[in-house]
This record gives sequence, C-alpha cells and structure tokens, in this order.
Amino acid sequence: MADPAGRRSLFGWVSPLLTLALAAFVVVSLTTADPVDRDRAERIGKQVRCPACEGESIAESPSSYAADMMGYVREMIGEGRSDQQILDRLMAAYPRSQMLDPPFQTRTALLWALPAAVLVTGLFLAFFRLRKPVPPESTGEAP
Amino acid sequence: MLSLAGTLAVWTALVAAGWLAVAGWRAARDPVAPSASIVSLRRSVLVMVLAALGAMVVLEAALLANDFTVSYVANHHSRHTPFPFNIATAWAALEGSIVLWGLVLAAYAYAVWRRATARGAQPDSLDWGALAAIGAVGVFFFGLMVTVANPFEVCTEAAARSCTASSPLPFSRAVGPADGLGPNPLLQNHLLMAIHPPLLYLGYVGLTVPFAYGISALALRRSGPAWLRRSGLWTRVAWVFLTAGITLGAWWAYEVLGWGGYWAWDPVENASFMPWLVATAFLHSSLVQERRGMLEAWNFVLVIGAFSLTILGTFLTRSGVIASVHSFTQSAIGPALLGFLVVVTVGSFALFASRAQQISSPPRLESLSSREGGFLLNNLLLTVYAMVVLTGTLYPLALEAFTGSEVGVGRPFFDRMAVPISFALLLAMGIGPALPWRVARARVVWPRVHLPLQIALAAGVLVIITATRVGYVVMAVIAGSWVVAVAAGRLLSQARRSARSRGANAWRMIPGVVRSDRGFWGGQLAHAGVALAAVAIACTANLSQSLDRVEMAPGDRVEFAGYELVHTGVSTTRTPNRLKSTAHVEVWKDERIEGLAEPALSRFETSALPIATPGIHHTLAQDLYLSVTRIDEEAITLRAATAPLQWVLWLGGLTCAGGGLYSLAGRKRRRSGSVRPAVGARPGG
Repeated sequence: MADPAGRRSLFGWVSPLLTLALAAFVVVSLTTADPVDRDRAERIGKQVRCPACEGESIAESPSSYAADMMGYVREMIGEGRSDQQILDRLMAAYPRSQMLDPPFQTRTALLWALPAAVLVTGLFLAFFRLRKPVPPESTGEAP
Repeated sequence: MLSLAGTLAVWTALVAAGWLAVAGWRAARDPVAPSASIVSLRRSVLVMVLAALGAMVVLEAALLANDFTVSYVANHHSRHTPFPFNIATAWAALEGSIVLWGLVLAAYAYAVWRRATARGAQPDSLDWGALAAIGAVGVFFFGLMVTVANPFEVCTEAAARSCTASSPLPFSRAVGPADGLGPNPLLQNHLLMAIHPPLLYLGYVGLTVPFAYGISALALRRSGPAWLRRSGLWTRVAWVFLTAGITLGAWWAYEVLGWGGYWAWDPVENASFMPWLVATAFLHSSLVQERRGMLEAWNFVLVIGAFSLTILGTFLTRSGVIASVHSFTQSAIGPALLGFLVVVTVGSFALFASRAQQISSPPRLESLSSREGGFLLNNLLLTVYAMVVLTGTLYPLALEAFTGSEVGVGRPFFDRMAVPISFALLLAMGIGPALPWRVARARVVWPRVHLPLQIALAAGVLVIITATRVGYVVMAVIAGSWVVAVAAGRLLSQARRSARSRGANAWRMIPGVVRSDRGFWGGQLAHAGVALAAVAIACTANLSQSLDRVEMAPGDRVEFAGYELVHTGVSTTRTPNRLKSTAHVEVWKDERIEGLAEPALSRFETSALPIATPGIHHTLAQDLYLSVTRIDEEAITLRAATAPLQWVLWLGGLTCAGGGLYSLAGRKRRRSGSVRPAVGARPGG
C-alpha cells in the first residue's frame, strides 16, 4: 500500500475507530434484537424423528402419522405444558419415535468427544510439533 | 443375447483391470521401463475402457430394447418409463450404478494414461504405479459386477412384473416378464436425477486417482513434489465434479422431494460431503507442501482418507445398513464393500507407516500467524468438520451394533455442530488470503484487511437497518462480504501495482493479474461461491415462514406471508405408469395475480406411497414453496413455506465449482484432449 504519508497517518487512527464503531453497532443491534419467534410446535417437532418415515422430523414429514404427532404437540402446547414435558409425553405416547437430537449421556458422550479429540490433537500438533524453535542456522526470529 | 454381450464385456474389463495392475506395477518397478511393458500397459488401459464402455452400452441397449430377460431390466425398468428416465435407469439402481462406477474409473485410467504419455510429458514410474493402483481398484469393482452386483444375469423365472430367479450363466434358458415395475418413482420425477448421479460419480470415483498417486509414491518411495502435483491436479478435477454434484443433488431434493428442504444430513448426503471436506482440506494443505515442503505426511493421510471415505460412503448408501430415503437397495454387496474398505484403509495406512521414515522431515513453521498457519487452521477446521459428520453418521449404527440401544442423530445435532465450524471457516477464508507466507506482521496485514473489514461490517449494518436483525443472517452477511472484500482488495492492489509499473489504468490490469495466477484466483472465486452459499443457507434457515397443513376446498383462499393463495381446482392426468393429481393454486399479491403454483401428488402403480411434487413460485427475493399432503376433488391439504434467497445457494454452489474449473484451466502444461475423454468435456479450455 503506497498511500501518501498524510493519508496513511489519517487512516492510522480513523480506520480502527471506524471499524470499532461499526462493530459496536452490529453487536448492540444483535444483542438487543428480539429473539426469533418461531412456531413453538414446529421447533419441538423438528427435534423428533417421524417413526413412519425415514430420517425426517415430524415437522417436515408430509405423512399422516407425523401430522397426528404434530397435532398432539399442538394440543399439549394448548394445555400449557413445557417443552420437556411435551417431548416426554410424546415419546411415551409414540414409543417407536426417537429424538433427532441425541441427549448428552454416557452412551452418547463419544459423539462429542471424538471430534473434540481431533480438535485438541490438531491444536497440540500445530502449537508444539509443527511450530518448533527455529534451528540455529535460520536467520528468522521466533515470535 | 444381450446378457451374453454384457457378461463378456464385464469379464473382459475385469481381466483388463487385473492386467493393468500387473503391467503397471512391473513398469513402475523397472527404473528404465522397457517399451514392451509400456505397450502392455497401453493395451490394458484401452481394453479396460472399451470393455467398461461396452458394458454400459449393452445395459442401455437392453433398457431401450425392453429386453426383460436381462435381470436388471426386469427388476428396474418398465415399458412405460419415459425418455430420458429410461436412459437414466441404467444408474438408478445398485447393479447399474456399479457399471457406471466401473466406466468412470476406466475413463479416469485412460485420462491418466493420456496425460502421462502426452507430448512433452516426462513418462514417470509414478504414473505407472498409479495406473497399477487404479487397476487394482478396478479389479474390485468389475469383480463386484460379475459376482454380487451382476446386472447382466439371465432371468430364469419370471413373475408378472419382475424376475424372481436369475442365473449368472449367459446360456441359461431365458424367460422374462412382459413388463417390469420401473425405477424407483422418486427417481423418475425430475431431469436433474439423470444428471446428478453421473456428476457425483465423476467426483467420487475421481478421488481414486490422487489416492492411486499417493499409494504409488509410497510404494515406490518417491515422496516429494512429483506425486503431490499429480494428486493435486486430479483432486481438483474430482472436486469440481463433486461440488457440482452435491449442489445439483441439493437442488434436486428441493425441487422434487417436496419436504421443503435441500439438505437433511441424510447419510447419503453425508457420504458425499465427507470426501468433499477432506478433498478440500487436501487442496489447501497441498499448497503448503508445494510452497514450503511441509505437511507431506499429512497430505498422504488426506488422499488416503478421501478415498476411504468414498468407499465408506458407498458402503453406507448401497448396503442398506442405514434405512434412509436414499437407500433404495439392499443386497449382498454390503459385506464385499465393507471388506474392501477394511483392506483399503488398513493396507494403505500400513504402507504409509512402513514408509514413515522416508517421508522427508518437514521444515518447521516460523509462525502460526502466516499463510501456512492459515492453511493449518483451515485443515484443522475441515478435519474436525469431517469428523463431526463421520461420528454423527456412524454413531447410531455403531451404538446399535455394539450395545443394541438406539439413538437418533439428526439434523439438530449436525446443525449445532456445523454452524460454529462453518463460521470459523468463513472467517479463516477471509483472513487467509491476506496473510503473507512465513510470518505475518500486523503492519503488513492491517492495510490489507482494514477496508474489507469495514465494508463487511457496513454490509452488516445495512442488513440490520433495512432487512433483519436475526443474528445468524447478519453474521453470515458480514462473514461472506469479508471473504469477498478481502479477495477483491487483493485483486485491486495487485492490479494497481502492476499498473504503476507499466503506467496503465489499474482496471485494465485486472484480467492480466487474474490470468497470471489462475490457481489462486480460481480459489478466490470458489471462496466467493462458499460465501454466497453461506448467506443463502443462513437466510433460508432463519427467515423462512411456514404454514402447516390447511384444508382448502376449491375456491378457498388463505393468507400467507403477504401472499394470498387461492385454490382453483384439481386436475388429474394419467400416464401409463402414474396417476398424477395436480392442485392449481393462484398466487396473489397486492390484488394482482403473480403466478400459478401447481403442487401435485403422483401415485405410481408400483408404489403404495404417493410421491409429492412441490409447486414452486420463484421470485428474486424468495421462493414460495407449496406442497400437498392430500388431494382429492373436495379438498386439498396444503403446506406452504417461503425460502428467501434460495436461488443464491445454487449460484453459490456452482460458482464454487466454477472457481475450481477456472484454476484447472490455468494449469501450465497443455493437455490436448487428454482429460476425461469419455465425458466429452474438458475442464475449461
């Protein structure tokens, strides 16, 4: 970048300030925004696998079985139950259905542990194996 | 008759593949390969590609001639399957898709051969070794075709609409049903289904070539830049097809499946996405080796991993172990694929381990904040991403197999894991190209990124003020504009520098700058495609509105998302193989009719479940997506959803593939017609 010296010194402090101001605006707008008001039944339905179809949630599946289950979800929302209560009752009423979002338990821990292990190993290699102290003959400087 | 021809073709291809493996290995082992063994290689490649092509031609001929004595035709074809689906039936079911696999593999073998022996190319034992490895893979797939996945068996006992017993012996007494059931109804609903599988296969099978070069280099103890350059080129070829194939697959799901989405983290989608992630990682880490000589061992791991994942994906989707919308087949092919997968992974990694000593010990990184540090970050993220998809896909299977307990791992899990990784990737994609090699100092990097950063944030502010304050959308817009702005900034500053040295206008310099480094700028174009896709995904996932199941009698109106939908009636068309009921829905907005959407349900005589086809009203701002779950004269049950900026996703995916294609076009060595002759299209020109 070969800006004239004057422009560079101007950018020297204007630019970071402008960046900060824009970032602050974005952060404030996003943190004060109302949470998205999704259809509650749909949100719950998306977590439950439709037992009659394959791999789809009951909110997405066009099957009548899924429609029945969604009807039950709406009914329970009408009764003012909590999300967890609704899910529990749904699982009890339709024993062949399954959560699409696996609960965190001992038998599912590996599901999170394996990718985490890859991440940790990768970070370890990057920091401690690949980035070695610079050999003496090199003229570069270690940061 | 056709059974005999097909069987002969497949056996010929099998023998040729074995011959190729032997001849390739002998030529590779000999430092000065005698011309006799080269001639032998050439013959085996030619015979294999012609025989594989012959098998496909015979299969198509049997389909077009309605020869129901051929088992594949009897079980997957019907006299009434319309054009072009009768052609596409050849790869719509298991055995035929293996024939396509063999053909693509043979075509790649031929392309590798042509490139290795092109004028000006230095024949190299690496090429012969790679051809040997391709031959060995070919032995497996052609072997499948003569055993557990034989499409050319002779039907010996026929039921009314299918073949109940068949024999692999071509001279058996042939009987055939008068007509068959036809291909899976889902697959004969849209033209994309005819194009998407071949594209995906070109990508999938293409990853065999970089793997073969990796194995060849390991076996011949030839680590260094030679195998890497070849693997890099062929990965790029495969990657372009894979990217386009995945995009068209998502498009097909959206246009045809009628559930309103384009990506469900279904095992078959994951099966194509995992090799894509690993191949993408390789495209980046290979640059580090090319430039700095580092990460060679890791690059071997990536090419072996990408190929293993394609076999794993084929196993998952073709063996029926996972019941999904895509696993329309079940057969004895499962154990064969699983065995091959074990042989490939164990064999390759054992070879890799035995050669570990010879792989040059890498110079170390001076600093993590550098271009190579950026590539490391990229590789780490892509690997973790692939690991998430892999564990999520395999976990339910493994858990059920080992403990018998069932657990569902679906969309919410994948979304929760994939979203943060994707954002991290986008940010890395923005900063990476702005970092210099070796060591990045703030005084070098800041001038390159401060303006793009402000442009990106300003784009976010604009979205907040004019459109939405939904966090994911705003962040996707910021991250996406950041990626594009950094690349554009680099382009402008290079053009300006080149203009200064020549005293010309900077804008005029842009084409020259781009042409001088097509690899880099093709990559930047691909990044821009990913950025577009990210914005589109954030919009469709967070801003869509939906309307669940409303009953509508003819004449009824319903308000939805600023539209008024009017059901005007139902029409029914009967074609020989299906009964299609179409609902006619007028789309009104501001007292004006904007369009007509026609969601439909088709009943195929072969399938109890009706197949829904959505009716989509496309506009620039959003799609209005209508589907019906019930349809009759009295009423329809309608579901509606909006998909904001949906078309941007297809644009992004194809731009991404286009970037890869452009970088291929920039390869220096000329290859007059030598790349993938069987496809008829050269990458770029």
